[in-house]
Amino acid sequence: MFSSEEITVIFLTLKVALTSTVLTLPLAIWLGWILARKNFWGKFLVEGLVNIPLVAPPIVTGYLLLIILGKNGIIGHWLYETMGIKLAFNFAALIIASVVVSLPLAVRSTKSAFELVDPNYEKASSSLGASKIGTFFRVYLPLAFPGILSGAVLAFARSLGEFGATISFAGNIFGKTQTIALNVYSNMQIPGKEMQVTRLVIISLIISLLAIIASEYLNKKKKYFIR
Amino acid sequence: MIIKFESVEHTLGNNHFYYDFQTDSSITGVFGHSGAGKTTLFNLLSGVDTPKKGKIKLDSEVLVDLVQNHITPGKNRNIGYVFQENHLFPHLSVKKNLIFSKPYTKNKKHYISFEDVVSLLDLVQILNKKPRQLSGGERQRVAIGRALLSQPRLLLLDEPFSNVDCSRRKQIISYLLRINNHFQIPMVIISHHLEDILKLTRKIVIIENGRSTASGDIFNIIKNGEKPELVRPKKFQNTFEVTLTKFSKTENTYNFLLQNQTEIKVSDHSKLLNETLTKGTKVQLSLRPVDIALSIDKHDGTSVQNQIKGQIKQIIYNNEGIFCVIDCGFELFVEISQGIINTLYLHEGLEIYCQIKANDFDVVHVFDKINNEEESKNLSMQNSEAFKLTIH
Repeated sequence: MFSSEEITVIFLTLKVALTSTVLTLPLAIWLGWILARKNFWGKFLVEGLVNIPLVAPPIVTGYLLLIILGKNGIIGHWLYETMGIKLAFNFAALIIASVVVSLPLAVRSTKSAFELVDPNYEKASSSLGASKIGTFFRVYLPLAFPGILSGAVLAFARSLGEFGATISFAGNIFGKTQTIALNVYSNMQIPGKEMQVTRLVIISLIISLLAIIASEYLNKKKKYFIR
Repeated sequence: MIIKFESVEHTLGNNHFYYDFQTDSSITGVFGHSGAGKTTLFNLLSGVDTPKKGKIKLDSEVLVDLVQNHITPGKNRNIGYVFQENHLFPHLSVKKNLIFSKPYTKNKKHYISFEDVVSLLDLVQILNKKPRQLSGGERQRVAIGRALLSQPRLLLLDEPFSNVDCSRRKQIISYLLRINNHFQIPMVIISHHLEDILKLTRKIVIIENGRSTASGDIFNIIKNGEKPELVRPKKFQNTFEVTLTKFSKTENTYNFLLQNQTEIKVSDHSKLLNETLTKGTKVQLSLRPVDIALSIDKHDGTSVQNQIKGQIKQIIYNNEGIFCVIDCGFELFVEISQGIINTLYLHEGLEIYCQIKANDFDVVHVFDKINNEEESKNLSMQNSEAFKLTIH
């Protein structure tokens, strides 16, 4: 049913989406928590920076990543010179691009989940002897869990469809950085590859649809859960 | 336990608060209108908020002393707090809510067991339910149980009667008396219903416009004529802890001994006595001032079954009417009228009979039977005619 090329692309895409979701989640929980519950100087700036990839053209995000983390970039050059670490045009670049573009969606969902939790539970938890960390793990995190999960699903879906930032920062190298979106783009330009394109588009649509349904279900559950 | 607020000042937005009082009762009521600053007082005592100035003490322990820059964090104060809105954790079952504090009580002396709390508060049927599946009264009981299992040395209850209907209110009062009696744990209870507070205690703190304006025995507050617009004597309840002596099946009344060894007859319309009770059982009764009539002589051939001799200690003229304090070995607060004063020539020092119908008493709570087996055995040996009452 699927060619070996298609299977390679599908597996790489799922691997990238899963890895980037796992890496995005702790960061999204932390950012969602501080943006929902803490007041600090520069909060708007942090919020703005997190959300830039949501509104900026993905190609711009990719370009920025390149000039910051590329071999000749501000940080990338130093990493390469001192530790020999290369972050552009490889699997790591694919993950970084994916994390950066999916982070805003995950943060928005976790932030809203933490905002919905009644802060009075913290008073109750503290009166029962719990520390702030204890309260976070035993009260806030479980209550925000459906929202966090919904954010993870959205991040996963966003990662699956990522194109602009990936092509400019990670490139389009088959077996290394070519995901479903990049493979579809490449094969659209080759006559006779229509069936392969169609199959991958359908796979992509099914995964995205399932992710959206899961996210909506979890969002509804989030409101029910904290009642 | 002595709770002491010394010139404590606090600010929330444009609202300023000032508390200066001391209470040492096993149950203290905090009374005031909505928004007067009652919850703020609890927040300062429990450590949810920190005052700007002043000193807060529990017995000899200083919780807050801003001159010394000393503040004990809330979680180290060992004070149980039952919030007005309960704040039960919605993701946890009743059982898990109850044992939430378990990891934090490892170094504390455990004098309240899970089994005792479940049994005292009748929670066994709802242990596996989620808070959203509970009624207002059930939530309140779980919140009280959860606070008790944190092994507190003091229990704060913020408006425990606010989310429950009248019959549940009575039930909660009974549970609170049961807890206070069983665990000997001091309590401070907020309510804007003076009648409810007075069924539990006569020791109150009055909060008005963010300030503690009076504290002490409500009897003295009324007698001194303080806060007439707030402390309304008509809302006053005479409360007694009495001891069961016998049940008369023919009269359908219960005989109790008052503190001064006077025997009274009570017919129970609340059905709280509708269970097997042994002689010696302690019961809390309440009686409204308006339900007591006065007479110069003892009467025979009357439907009034209780005639208690006393002496008029004080006559109080108040906005709400005229009230009389009668010393019967304990004090009774009686509502009278100018007409009665004129007719009976009532004056301070006059010996008089308080006439009370058996069904005017309200049974507030039946205390647990004696727990100590040894003591129980001794009692039954002394009272060889120990009897059991079963009401059909």
